Amino acid sequence: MIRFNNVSKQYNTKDGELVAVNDVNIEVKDGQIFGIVGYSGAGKSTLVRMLDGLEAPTTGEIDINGTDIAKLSGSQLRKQRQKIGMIFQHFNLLWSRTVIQNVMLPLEIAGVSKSERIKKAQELISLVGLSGRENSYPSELSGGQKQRVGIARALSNDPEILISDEATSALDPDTTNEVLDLLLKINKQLGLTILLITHEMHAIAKVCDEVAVMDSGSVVESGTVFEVFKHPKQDVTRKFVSEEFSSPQEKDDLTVTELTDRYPEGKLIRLTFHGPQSELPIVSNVIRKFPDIEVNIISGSMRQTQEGAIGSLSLQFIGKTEVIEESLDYLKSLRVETEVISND
Amino acid sequence: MTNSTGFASYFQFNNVDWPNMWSASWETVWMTLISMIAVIVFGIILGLILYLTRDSKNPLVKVFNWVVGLLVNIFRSVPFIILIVLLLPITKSIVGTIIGPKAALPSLIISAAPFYARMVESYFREVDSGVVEAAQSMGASTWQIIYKVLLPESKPALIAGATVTAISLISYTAMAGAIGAGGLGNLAYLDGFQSNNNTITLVAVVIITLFVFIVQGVGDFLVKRTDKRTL
Repeated sequence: MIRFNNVSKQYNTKDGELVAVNDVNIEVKDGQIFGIVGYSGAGKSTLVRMLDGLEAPTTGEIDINGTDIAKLSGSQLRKQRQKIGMIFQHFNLLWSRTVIQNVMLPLEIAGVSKSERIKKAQELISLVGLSGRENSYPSELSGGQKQRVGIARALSNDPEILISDEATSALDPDTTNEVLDLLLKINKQLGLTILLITHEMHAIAKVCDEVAVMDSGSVVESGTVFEVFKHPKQDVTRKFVSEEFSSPQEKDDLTVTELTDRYPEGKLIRLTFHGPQSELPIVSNVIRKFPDIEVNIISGSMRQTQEGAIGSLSLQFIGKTEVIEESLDYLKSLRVETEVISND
Repeated sequence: MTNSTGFASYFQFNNVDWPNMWSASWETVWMTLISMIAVIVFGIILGLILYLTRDSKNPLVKVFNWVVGLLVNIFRSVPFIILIVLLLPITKSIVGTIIGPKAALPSLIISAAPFYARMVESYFREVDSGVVEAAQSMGASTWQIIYKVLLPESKPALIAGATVTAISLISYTAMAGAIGAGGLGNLAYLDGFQSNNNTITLVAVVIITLFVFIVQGVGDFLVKRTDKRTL
Protein backbone atom coordinates (compact mmCIF):
# COMPACT_ATOMS: atom_id res chain seq x y z
CA MET A 1 0.00 0.00 0.00
CA ILE A 2 1.24 3.43 -0.92
CA ARG A 3 -0.16 6.40 0.93
CA PHE A 4 0.52 10.07 0.28
CA ASN A 5 -0.59 12.07 3.32
CA ASN A 6 -0.98 15.81 2.72
CA VAL A 7 2.21 15.80 0.67
CA SER A 8 3.49 19.15 -0.55
CA LYS A 9 6.74 20.09 -2.24
CA GLN A 10 8.00 23.62 -2.68
CA TYR A 11 11.12 24.83 -4.43
CA ASN A 12 12.83 28.12 -3.75
CA THR A 13 13.67 29.58 -7.11
CA LYS A 14 14.92 32.98 -8.18
CA ASP A 15 11.37 33.97 -9.04
CA GLY A 16 10.11 33.09 -5.60
CA GLU A 17 8.48 29.99 -4.24
CA LEU A 18 7.34 27.35 -6.67
CA VAL A 19 4.77 24.86 -5.48
CA ALA A 20 5.37 21.68 -7.45
CA VAL A 21 3.07 19.44 -5.41
CA ASN A 22 0.23 20.84 -3.35
CA ASP A 23 -1.36 18.88 -0.50
CA VAL A 24 -1.68 15.57 -2.31
CA ASN A 25 -3.57 12.68 -0.72
CA ILE A 26 -3.50 9.42 -2.62
CA GLU A 27 -3.97 5.87 -1.47
CA VAL A 28 -2.91 2.99 -3.71
CA LYS A 29 -4.09 -0.42 -2.55
CA ASP A 30 -2.05 -3.59 -2.96
CA GLY A 31 -2.46 -5.28 -6.31
CA GLN A 32 -4.05 -2.23 -7.91
CA ILE A 33 -3.05 -0.46 -11.08
CA PHE A 34 -3.34 3.16 -10.10
CA GLY A 35 -3.05 5.90 -12.69
CA ILE A 36 -1.90 9.45 -12.20
CA VAL A 37 -2.74 11.58 -15.21
CA GLY A 38 -1.83 15.19 -15.86
CA TYR A 39 -0.19 17.48 -18.38
CA SER A 40 3.52 18.15 -18.11
CA GLY A 41 4.26 20.41 -15.18
CA ALA A 42 1.33 19.03 -13.19
CA GLY A 43 3.69 17.63 -10.57
CA LYS A 44 3.66 13.97 -11.55
CA SER A 45 7.43 13.58 -11.85
CA THR A 46 8.04 15.29 -8.52
CA LEU A 47 5.63 12.85 -6.96
CA VAL A 48 7.58 9.93 -8.41
CA ARG A 49 10.92 11.33 -7.31
CA MET A 50 9.60 11.69 -3.78
CA LEU A 51 8.34 8.13 -3.84
CA ASP A 52 11.85 6.99 -4.68
CA GLY A 53 13.48 9.17 -2.04
CA LEU A 54 15.31 11.22 -4.68
CA GLU A 55 13.57 14.23 -3.17
CA ALA A 56 11.97 14.78 0.19
CA PRO A 57 8.52 16.32 0.61
CA THR A 58 8.43 19.78 2.22
CA THR A 59 5.47 18.72 4.34
CA GLY A 60 3.41 15.57 4.69
CA GLU A 61 4.54 11.98 4.53
CA ILE A 62 4.81 9.18 2.04
CA ASP A 63 4.16 5.75 3.43
CA ILE A 64 5.07 2.62 1.46
CA ASN A 65 3.94 -0.55 3.21
CA GLY A 66 4.47 1.06 6.58
CA THR A 67 7.78 2.79 5.84
CA ASP A 68 8.05 6.56 5.83
CA ILE A 69 10.34 7.20 2.86
CA ALA A 70 11.45 10.67 3.92
CA LYS A 71 12.88 9.27 7.17
CA LEU A 72 15.26 6.89 5.40
CA SER A 73 18.78 7.69 4.32
CA GLY A 74 21.99 6.00 3.22
CA SER A 75 21.90 2.22 2.97
CA GLN A 76 18.34 1.96 4.35
CA LEU A 77 17.11 4.18 1.53
CA ARG A 78 19.06 2.12 -1.02
CA LYS A 79 17.50 -1.08 0.39
CA GLN A 80 14.05 0.51 0.13
CA ARG A 81 14.67 1.55 -3.48
CA GLN A 82 15.37 -2.08 -4.36
CA LYS A 83 11.76 -2.82 -3.42
CA ILE A 84 10.50 -0.40 -6.06
CA GLY A 85 10.88 -1.19 -9.73
CA MET A 86 10.83 1.67 -12.17
CA ILE A 87 10.37 2.01 -15.92
CA PHE A 88 11.03 5.21 -17.79
CA GLN A 89 9.92 7.12 -20.87
CA HIS A 90 13.36 6.84 -22.49
CA PHE A 91 13.95 3.31 -21.16
CA ASN A 92 17.28 4.35 -19.56
CA LEU A 93 19.02 1.11 -20.51
CA LEU A 94 22.80 0.90 -20.47
CA TRP A 95 23.88 0.74 -24.12
CA SER A 96 27.15 -0.87 -23.03
CA ARG A 97 25.30 -3.91 -21.68
CA THR A 98 23.42 -6.65 -23.45
CA VAL A 99 19.76 -7.39 -22.72
CA ILE A 100 20.55 -9.99 -20.08
CA GLN A 101 23.29 -7.85 -18.53
CA ASN A 102 20.86 -4.94 -18.27
CA VAL A 103 18.29 -7.14 -16.56
CA MET A 104 20.98 -8.40 -14.16
CA LEU A 105 22.15 -4.91 -13.14
CA PRO A 106 19.73 -4.45 -10.20
CA LEU A 107 20.65 -7.95 -9.01
CA GLU A 108 24.35 -7.10 -9.14
CA ILE A 109 23.63 -3.97 -7.14
CA ALA A 110 21.70 -6.03 -4.59
CA GLY A 111 24.60 -8.49 -4.37
CA VAL A 112 22.85 -11.59 -5.74
CA SER A 113 25.15 -14.48 -6.76
CA LYS A 114 25.99 -14.87 -10.43
CA SER A 115 24.20 -18.17 -11.03
CA GLU A 116 21.02 -16.81 -9.43
CA ARG A 117 21.32 -13.60 -11.42
CA ILE A 118 21.43 -15.49 -14.69
CA LYS A 119 18.53 -17.75 -13.71
CA LYS A 120 16.33 -14.86 -12.60
CA ALA A 121 17.20 -12.71 -15.62
CA GLN A 122 16.37 -15.52 -18.02
CA GLU A 123 12.99 -16.11 -16.36
CA LEU A 124 12.12 -12.43 -16.67
CA ILE A 125 13.31 -12.17 -20.25
CA SER A 126 10.97 -14.98 -21.20
CA LEU A 127 8.16 -13.38 -19.14
CA VAL A 128 8.42 -10.19 -21.20
CA GLY A 129 8.66 -12.18 -24.42
CA LEU A 130 12.26 -11.52 -25.40
CA SER A 131 13.68 -15.05 -25.28
CA GLY A 132 16.46 -15.43 -27.81
CA ARG A 133 17.45 -11.76 -27.61
CA GLU A 134 19.48 -12.13 -24.37
CA ASN A 135 22.75 -11.19 -26.01
CA SER A 136 21.52 -8.33 -28.17
CA TYR A 137 22.50 -4.78 -27.35
CA PRO A 138 19.79 -2.16 -26.81
CA SER A 139 20.78 -0.46 -30.06
CA GLU A 140 19.64 -3.59 -31.89
CA LEU A 141 16.13 -3.46 -30.40
CA SER A 142 12.96 -1.54 -31.28
CA GLY A 143 11.39 0.90 -28.83
CA GLY A 144 8.84 -1.61 -27.64
CA GLN A 145 11.51 -4.27 -27.12
CA LYS A 146 13.64 -1.80 -25.18
CA GLN A 147 10.73 -1.07 -22.87
CA ARG A 148 10.27 -4.81 -22.37
CA VAL A 149 13.88 -4.99 -21.24
CA GLY A 150 13.13 -2.03 -18.96
CA ILE A 151 10.19 -3.93 -17.48
CA ALA A 152 12.23 -7.12 -16.98
CA ARG A 153 14.95 -5.06 -15.33
CA ALA A 154 12.42 -3.34 -13.05
CA LEU A 155 11.07 -6.72 -11.94
CA SER A 156 14.40 -8.39 -11.26
CA ASN A 157 14.52 -7.60 -7.54
CA ASP A 158 10.95 -8.86 -6.99
CA PRO A 159 9.70 -5.36 -6.19
CA GLU A 160 6.59 -4.61 -4.12
CA ILE A 161 5.66 -1.78 -6.45
CA LEU A 162 6.26 -1.01 -10.11
CA ILE A 163 6.30 2.64 -11.12
CA SER A 164 5.78 3.42 -14.77
CA ASP A 165 6.92 6.98 -15.40
CA GLU A 166 5.53 7.93 -18.83
CA ALA A 167 6.76 4.54 -20.00
CA THR A 168 4.63 4.47 -23.13
CA SER A 169 4.92 8.14 -24.09
CA ALA A 170 7.76 7.59 -26.55
CA LEU A 171 6.09 4.62 -28.25
CA ASP A 172 3.71 4.39 -31.19
CA PRO A 173 0.07 3.42 -30.51
CA ASP A 174 0.47 -0.29 -31.34
CA THR A 175 3.59 -0.66 -29.24
CA THR A 176 1.93 1.32 -26.44
CA ASN A 177 -0.86 -1.23 -26.39
CA GLU A 178 1.60 -4.12 -26.35
CA VAL A 179 3.46 -2.65 -23.41
CA LEU A 180 0.21 -1.88 -21.57
CA ASP A 181 -0.97 -5.46 -22.14
CA LEU A 182 2.30 -6.67 -20.70
CA LEU A 183 1.82 -4.47 -17.62
CA LEU A 184 -1.69 -5.89 -17.17
CA LYS A 185 -0.35 -9.42 -17.49
CA ILE A 186 2.32 -8.75 -14.87
CA ASN A 187 -0.24 -7.17 -12.56
CA LYS A 188 -2.49 -10.22 -12.82
CA GLN A 189 0.25 -12.86 -12.83
CA LEU A 190 2.43 -11.46 -10.05
CA GLY A 191 -0.20 -9.47 -8.16
CA LEU A 192 2.11 -6.49 -8.40
CA THR A 193 0.94 -3.00 -7.46
CA ILE A 194 1.54 -0.66 -10.39
CA LEU A 195 1.60 3.10 -10.31
CA LEU A 196 1.14 4.41 -13.84
CA ILE A 197 2.15 8.01 -14.45
CA THR A 198 1.10 9.34 -17.83
CA HIS A 199 -0.42 12.16 -19.81
CA GLU A 200 -2.29 9.73 -22.05
CA MET A 201 -5.84 9.02 -20.96
CA HIS A 202 -5.77 6.04 -23.28
CA ALA A 203 -3.26 4.23 -21.10
CA ILE A 204 -5.33 4.99 -18.00
CA ALA A 205 -8.55 3.76 -19.60
CA LYS A 206 -6.93 0.58 -20.80
CA VAL A 207 -5.27 -0.74 -17.66
CA CYS A 208 -6.01 1.29 -14.54
CA ASP A 209 -8.46 0.50 -11.77
CA GLU A 210 -8.33 3.92 -10.19
CA VAL A 211 -7.08 7.27 -11.38
CA ALA A 212 -6.06 10.60 -9.89
CA VAL A 213 -6.09 13.64 -12.16
CA MET A 214 -3.41 16.19 -11.39
CA ASP A 215 -3.36 19.84 -12.36
CA SER A 216 -0.79 22.43 -11.21
CA GLY A 217 0.44 20.31 -8.33
CA SER A 218 -2.93 19.27 -6.92
CA VAL A 219 -5.08 16.21 -7.33
CA VAL A 220 -8.27 17.73 -8.74
CA GLU A 221 -10.26 14.57 -9.18
CA SER A 222 -9.91 10.92 -8.34
CA GLY A 223 -11.90 7.73 -8.28
CA THR A 224 -12.40 4.60 -10.31
CA VAL A 225 -11.51 5.03 -13.96
CA PHE A 226 -15.07 4.18 -14.88
CA GLU A 227 -16.56 6.91 -12.66
CA VAL A 228 -14.08 9.55 -13.78
CA PHE A 229 -14.71 8.72 -17.43
CA LYS A 230 -18.45 8.69 -16.99
CA HIS A 231 -18.83 11.88 -15.02
CA PRO A 232 -15.74 14.05 -15.36
CA LYS A 233 -16.21 16.95 -12.94
CA GLN A 234 -13.24 19.19 -13.61
CA ASP A 235 -12.43 20.98 -16.86
CA VAL A 236 -9.01 19.39 -17.09
CA THR A 237 -10.54 15.93 -16.66
CA ARG A 238 -13.15 16.64 -19.32
CA LYS A 239 -10.34 17.67 -21.62
CA PHE A 240 -8.50 14.43 -20.97
CA VAL A 241 -11.61 12.35 -21.47
CA SER A 242 -12.58 14.13 -24.67
CA GLU A 243 -9.04 13.74 -26.00
CA GLU A 244 -9.46 10.04 -25.52
CA PHE A 245 -12.51 10.14 -27.78
CA SER A 246 -11.05 12.79 -30.00
CA SER A 247 -9.75 11.10 -33.12
CA PRO A 248 -13.16 10.34 -34.64
CA GLN A 249 -14.56 13.67 -33.52
CA GLU A 250 -11.99 15.72 -35.34
CA LYS A 251 -13.40 14.41 -38.57
CA ASP A 252 -16.90 15.22 -37.29
CA ASP A 253 -16.82 18.90 -38.01
CA LEU A 254 -16.73 18.45 -41.73
CA THR A 255 -19.37 15.77 -41.76
CA VAL A 256 -21.58 17.76 -39.41
CA THR A 257 -21.59 20.81 -41.70
CA GLU A 258 -22.16 18.59 -44.71
CA LEU A 259 -25.03 16.82 -43.02
CA THR A 260 -26.66 19.99 -41.70
CA ASP A 261 -26.41 21.38 -45.22
CA ARG A 262 -28.02 18.31 -46.66
CA TYR A 263 -30.63 17.82 -43.93
CA PRO A 264 -31.37 21.26 -42.54
CA GLU A 265 -34.26 19.90 -40.51
CA GLY A 266 -32.02 17.42 -38.73
CA LYS A 267 -31.04 17.33 -35.11
CA LEU A 268 -27.52 16.30 -34.13
CA ILE A 269 -27.31 14.25 -30.99
CA ARG A 270 -24.48 12.68 -29.05
CA LEU A 271 -25.16 9.59 -27.00
CA THR A 272 -22.87 8.39 -24.24
CA PHE A 273 -23.39 4.95 -22.83
CA HIS A 274 -21.51 2.74 -20.48
CA GLY A 275 -21.40 -0.79 -19.23
CA PRO A 276 -24.50 -2.86 -20.02
CA GLN A 277 -26.10 -0.25 -22.32
CA SER A 278 -23.15 -0.41 -24.64
CA GLU A 279 -24.01 -4.01 -25.34
CA LEU A 280 -27.66 -3.30 -26.24
CA PRO A 281 -28.84 -2.68 -29.81
CA ILE A 282 -29.95 0.85 -28.89
CA VAL A 283 -29.93 2.39 -32.35
CA SER A 284 -31.99 -0.34 -33.97
CA ASN A 285 -34.43 -0.17 -31.02
CA VAL A 286 -34.94 3.52 -31.69
CA ILE A 287 -35.43 2.98 -35.41
CA ARG A 288 -37.93 0.19 -34.82
CA LYS A 289 -39.88 2.14 -32.22
CA PHE A 290 -39.93 5.38 -34.20
CA PRO A 291 -40.12 4.35 -37.86
CA ASP A 292 -40.86 7.95 -38.86
CA ILE A 293 -37.41 9.23 -38.04
CA GLU A 294 -34.33 8.62 -40.06
CA VAL A 295 -31.03 8.09 -38.32
CA ASN A 296 -27.64 9.02 -39.72
CA ILE A 297 -24.54 7.81 -37.92
CA ILE A 298 -21.89 10.51 -37.94
CA SER A 299 -19.25 9.07 -35.71
CA GLY A 300 -18.80 6.64 -32.92
CA SER A 301 -16.17 5.20 -30.67
CA MET A 302 -15.85 2.64 -27.95
CA ARG A 303 -13.30 2.40 -25.18
CA GLN A 304 -12.71 -0.64 -23.05
CA THR A 305 -11.84 0.15 -19.45
CA GLN A 306 -11.07 -2.36 -16.71
CA GLU A 307 -14.69 -2.03 -15.49
CA GLY A 308 -16.49 -2.13 -18.80
CA ALA A 309 -17.00 -0.33 -22.06
CA ILE A 310 -17.72 3.35 -22.52
CA GLY A 311 -19.13 4.41 -25.86
CA SER A 312 -19.81 7.67 -27.59
CA LEU A 313 -22.04 7.91 -30.65
CA SER A 314 -22.95 10.99 -32.69
CA LEU A 315 -26.20 10.70 -34.64
CA GLN A 316 -28.43 12.85 -36.77
CA PHE A 317 -32.17 12.42 -36.29
CA ILE A 318 -34.38 13.60 -39.16
CA GLY A 319 -38.10 13.83 -38.69
CA LYS A 320 -40.84 15.74 -36.90
CA THR A 321 -39.63 17.63 -33.85
CA GLU A 322 -42.20 16.00 -31.55
CA VAL A 323 -41.18 12.52 -32.64
CA ILE A 324 -37.52 13.35 -32.10
CA GLU A 325 -38.33 14.64 -28.61
CA GLU A 326 -40.16 11.38 -27.92
CA SER A 327 -37.25 9.32 -29.13
CA LEU A 328 -34.90 11.29 -26.90
CA ASP A 329 -37.15 10.57 -23.93
CA TYR A 330 -37.08 6.92 -24.89
CA LEU A 331 -33.28 6.97 -24.95
CA LYS A 332 -33.25 8.58 -21.52
CA SER A 333 -35.49 5.80 -20.26
CA LEU A 334 -32.80 3.37 -21.43
CA ARG A 335 -30.40 5.32 -19.18
CA VAL A 336 -28.40 6.53 -22.15
CA GLU A 337 -27.04 10.02 -21.75
CA THR A 338 -28.07 12.29 -24.60
CA GLU A 339 -26.78 15.65 -25.60
CA VAL A 340 -28.06 17.81 -28.44
CA ILE A 341 -25.03 19.17 -30.27
CA SER A 342 -26.81 21.42 -32.75
CA ASN A 343 -30.23 21.87 -34.22
CA ASP A 344 -31.17 23.95 -37.18
CA MET B 1 81.88 11.25 -42.28
CA THR B 2 81.16 13.70 -45.02
CA ASN B 3 78.31 16.10 -44.72
CA SER B 4 76.63 17.27 -47.88
CA THR B 5 74.37 20.28 -47.85
CA GLY B 6 70.91 21.03 -49.25
CA PHE B 7 68.30 18.44 -50.08
CA ALA B 8 70.79 15.59 -50.33
CA SER B 9 71.74 16.05 -46.68
CA TYR B 10 68.49 14.26 -45.72
CA PHE B 11 69.53 11.00 -47.33
CA GLN B 12 73.00 10.16 -45.99
CA PHE B 13 71.90 6.98 -44.26
CA ASN B 14 75.49 5.82 -43.64
CA ASN B 15 75.67 8.66 -41.09
CA VAL B 16 72.92 7.08 -38.98
CA ASP B 17 74.00 5.17 -35.90
CA TRP B 18 71.19 2.59 -35.96
CA PRO B 19 71.70 0.97 -32.55
CA ASN B 20 71.58 4.48 -31.10
CA MET B 21 68.41 5.18 -33.04
CA TRP B 22 66.70 2.03 -31.73
CA SER B 23 67.61 2.70 -28.14
CA ALA B 24 66.34 6.28 -28.48
CA SER B 25 63.10 4.92 -29.96
CA TRP B 26 62.76 2.53 -27.07
CA GLU B 27 63.26 5.40 -24.62
CA THR B 28 60.47 7.34 -26.29
CA VAL B 29 58.14 4.33 -26.13
CA TRP B 30 59.05 3.74 -22.49
CA MET B 31 58.48 7.36 -21.46
CA THR B 32 55.15 7.49 -23.28
CA LEU B 33 53.89 4.17 -21.92
CA ILE B 34 54.82 4.73 -18.28
CA SER B 35 53.55 8.30 -18.20
CA MET B 36 50.39 7.27 -20.05
CA ILE B 37 49.54 4.62 -17.46
CA ALA B 38 49.97 7.19 -14.69
CA VAL B 39 48.02 9.82 -16.65
CA ILE B 40 45.07 7.46 -17.14
CA VAL B 41 44.98 6.56 -13.44
CA PHE B 42 45.37 10.12 -12.13
CA GLY B 43 43.24 11.61 -14.89
CA ILE B 44 40.29 9.33 -14.15
CA ILE B 45 40.62 9.91 -10.41
CA LEU B 46 40.80 13.69 -10.84
CA GLY B 47 38.01 13.67 -13.42
CA LEU B 48 35.82 11.65 -11.06
CA ILE B 49 36.52 14.05 -8.20
CA LEU B 50 35.59 17.00 -10.41
CA TYR B 51 32.44 15.23 -11.64
CA LEU B 52 31.23 14.04 -8.25
CA THR B 53 31.80 17.31 -6.42
CA ARG B 54 30.47 19.62 -9.13
CA ASP B 55 26.88 20.16 -7.96
CA SER B 56 27.33 19.77 -4.24
CA LYS B 57 25.54 22.19 -1.93
CA ASN B 58 27.98 21.53 0.90
CA PRO B 59 30.29 24.60 1.11
CA LEU B 60 33.34 22.49 2.04
CA VAL B 61 32.87 20.27 -1.00
CA LYS B 62 32.35 23.37 -3.13
CA VAL B 63 35.69 24.81 -1.99
CA PHE B 64 37.37 21.44 -2.59
CA ASN B 65 35.94 21.30 -6.12
CA TRP B 66 37.13 24.84 -6.75
CA VAL B 67 40.68 24.11 -5.52
CA VAL B 68 41.00 20.92 -7.56
CA GLY B 69 39.58 22.71 -10.60
CA LEU B 70 42.03 25.57 -10.16
CA LEU B 71 45.07 23.27 -9.86
CA VAL B 72 43.96 21.35 -12.92
CA ASN B 73 43.56 24.56 -14.88
CA ILE B 74 46.94 25.92 -13.80
CA PHE B 75 48.90 22.81 -14.77
CA ARG B 76 46.93 22.45 -17.96
CA SER B 77 47.75 25.98 -19.09
CA VAL B 78 51.47 26.16 -18.27
CA PRO B 79 53.41 25.50 -21.50
CA PHE B 80 55.13 22.14 -21.21
CA ILE B 81 58.63 23.35 -21.84
CA ILE B 82 58.29 25.87 -18.97
CA LEU B 83 56.70 23.27 -16.71
CA ILE B 84 59.77 21.02 -17.08
CA VAL B 85 62.05 23.82 -15.99
CA LEU B 86 59.68 24.81 -13.20
CA LEU B 87 59.60 21.23 -11.90
CA LEU B 88 63.37 20.63 -12.06
CA PRO B 89 63.90 20.81 -8.27
CA ILE B 90 60.92 18.54 -7.63
CA THR B 91 62.12 16.10 -10.29
CA LYS B 92 65.55 16.07 -8.69
CA SER B 93 64.11 15.22 -5.28
CA ILE B 94 61.71 12.54 -6.56
CA VAL B 95 63.81 10.81 -9.24
CA GLY B 96 67.27 11.83 -8.04
CA THR B 97 68.38 13.17 -11.43
CA ILE B 98 67.29 15.69 -14.02
CA ILE B 99 68.78 13.81 -16.96
CA GLY B 100 67.41 10.79 -18.82
CA PRO B 101 63.99 9.28 -19.56
CA LYS B 102 63.08 8.73 -15.89
CA ALA B 103 63.58 12.42 -15.14
CA ALA B 104 60.99 13.30 -17.79
CA LEU B 105 58.21 11.33 -16.09
CA PRO B 106 57.10 13.77 -13.35
CA SER B 107 56.64 16.69 -15.70
CA LEU B 108 55.01 14.52 -18.39
CA ILE B 109 52.50 13.18 -15.89
CA ILE B 110 51.83 16.49 -14.16
CA SER B 111 51.15 18.24 -17.44
CA ALA B 112 49.06 15.53 -19.14
CA ALA B 113 46.98 14.23 -16.20
CA PRO B 114 45.04 17.50 -15.71
CA PHE B 115 44.51 17.67 -19.47
CA TYR B 116 43.00 14.18 -19.43
CA ALA B 117 41.10 14.89 -16.20
CA ARG B 118 39.08 17.66 -17.84
CA MET B 119 38.22 15.35 -20.72
CA VAL B 120 37.19 12.59 -18.30
CA GLU B 121 34.97 15.00 -16.40
CA SER B 122 33.18 16.02 -19.58
CA TYR B 123 32.76 12.37 -20.67
CA PHE B 124 31.12 11.54 -17.34
CA ARG B 125 28.79 14.49 -17.77
CA GLU B 126 27.81 13.17 -21.17
CA VAL B 127 26.62 9.87 -19.68
CA ASP B 128 22.82 9.88 -19.93
CA SER B 129 21.54 11.33 -16.65
CA GLY B 130 18.47 9.12 -16.98
CA VAL B 131 20.66 6.03 -16.80
CA VAL B 132 22.39 7.34 -13.67
CA GLU B 133 18.99 8.06 -12.14
CA ALA B 134 17.80 4.57 -13.08
CA ALA B 135 20.79 3.09 -11.25
CA GLN B 136 20.00 5.28 -8.24
CA SER B 137 16.42 4.07 -8.28
CA MET B 138 17.75 0.49 -8.18
CA GLY B 139 19.48 1.37 -4.93
CA ALA B 140 23.03 1.67 -6.28
CA SER B 141 25.67 3.31 -4.09
CA THR B 142 27.90 6.05 -5.49
CA TRP B 143 30.73 3.56 -5.91
CA GLN B 144 28.44 1.12 -7.77
CA ILE B 145 27.27 3.94 -10.03
CA ILE B 146 30.91 4.74 -10.83
CA TYR B 147 32.07 1.28 -11.83
CA LYS B 148 28.81 -0.16 -13.15
CA VAL B 149 27.46 2.88 -15.00
CA LEU B 150 29.82 5.84 -15.44
CA LEU B 151 32.97 3.94 -16.44
CA PRO B 152 31.41 1.38 -18.81
CA GLU B 153 29.05 3.93 -20.39
CA SER B 154 31.89 6.33 -21.13
CA LYS B 155 34.47 3.72 -22.13
CA PRO B 156 34.72 4.59 -25.84
CA ALA B 157 35.07 8.28 -25.00
CA LEU B 158 37.68 7.52 -22.33
CA ILE B 159 39.68 5.53 -24.89
CA ALA B 160 39.36 8.22 -27.55
CA GLY B 161 40.52 10.86 -25.06
CA ALA B 162 43.41 8.66 -23.95
CA THR B 163 44.45 8.33 -27.59
CA VAL B 164 44.57 12.09 -28.03
CA THR B 165 46.48 12.44 -24.76
CA ALA B 166 48.96 9.71 -25.72
CA ILE B 167 49.71 11.48 -28.98
CA SER B 168 50.39 14.76 -27.27
CA LEU B 169 52.54 12.87 -24.75
CA ILE B 170 54.68 11.59 -27.61
CA SER B 171 55.33 15.13 -28.72
CA TYR B 172 55.99 16.18 -25.12
CA THR B 173 58.64 13.46 -24.80
CA ALA B 174 60.36 14.94 -27.84
CA MET B 175 60.30 18.37 -26.23
CA ALA B 176 61.61 16.94 -22.97
CA GLY B 177 64.30 15.21 -25.01
CA ALA B 178 65.60 18.54 -26.21
CA ILE B 179 66.61 19.44 -22.68
CA GLY B 180 68.13 16.10 -21.79
CA ALA B 181 65.40 13.56 -21.19
CA GLY B 182 66.62 11.12 -23.82
CA GLY B 183 64.53 9.51 -26.53
CA LEU B 184 64.08 10.46 -30.17
CA GLY B 185 63.65 14.17 -29.44
CA ASN B 186 67.00 14.21 -27.70
CA LEU B 187 68.63 12.32 -30.57
CA ALA B 188 67.14 14.60 -33.23
CA TYR B 189 68.28 17.65 -31.32
CA LEU B 190 71.83 16.58 -30.37
CA ASP B 191 72.91 14.23 -33.17
CA GLY B 192 70.69 15.81 -35.80
CA PHE B 193 70.42 19.53 -35.31
CA GLN B 194 73.56 20.30 -33.32
CA SER B 195 75.78 17.99 -35.40
CA ASN B 196 74.25 19.32 -38.56
CA ASN B 197 73.11 15.83 -39.54
CA ASN B 198 69.71 16.19 -41.23
CA THR B 199 69.34 12.48 -41.97
CA ILE B 200 69.16 11.64 -38.28
CA THR B 201 66.49 14.32 -37.75
CA LEU B 202 64.48 12.92 -40.67
CA VAL B 203 64.68 9.30 -39.46
CA ALA B 204 63.66 10.39 -35.92
CA VAL B 205 60.69 12.24 -37.39
CA VAL B 206 59.63 9.23 -39.45
CA ILE B 207 59.78 6.95 -36.43
CA ILE B 208 57.81 9.38 -34.24
CA THR B 209 55.19 9.76 -36.97
CA LEU B 210 54.96 5.97 -37.13
CA PHE B 211 54.36 5.84 -33.37
CA VAL B 212 51.60 8.41 -33.64
CA PHE B 213 49.92 6.43 -36.44
CA ILE B 214 50.10 3.21 -34.44
CA VAL B 215 48.63 4.85 -31.32
CA GLN B 216 45.84 6.44 -33.36
CA GLY B 217 45.10 3.15 -35.14
CA VAL B 218 44.96 1.12 -31.94
CA GLY B 219 42.83 3.82 -30.28
CA ASP B 220 40.34 3.94 -33.15
CA PHE B 221 40.09 0.17 -33.18
CA LEU B 222 39.37 -0.03 -29.45
CA VAL B 223 36.79 2.78 -29.62
CA LYS B 224 34.98 0.97 -32.38
CA ARG B 225 35.04 -2.32 -30.52
CA THR B 226 33.72 -0.93 -27.25
CA ASP B 227 31.04 1.36 -28.67
CA LYS B 228 27.75 -0.56 -28.81
CA ARG B 229 25.52 2.45 -29.44
CA THR B 230 25.36 1.92 -33.16
CA LEU B 231 25.80 -1.46 -34.71
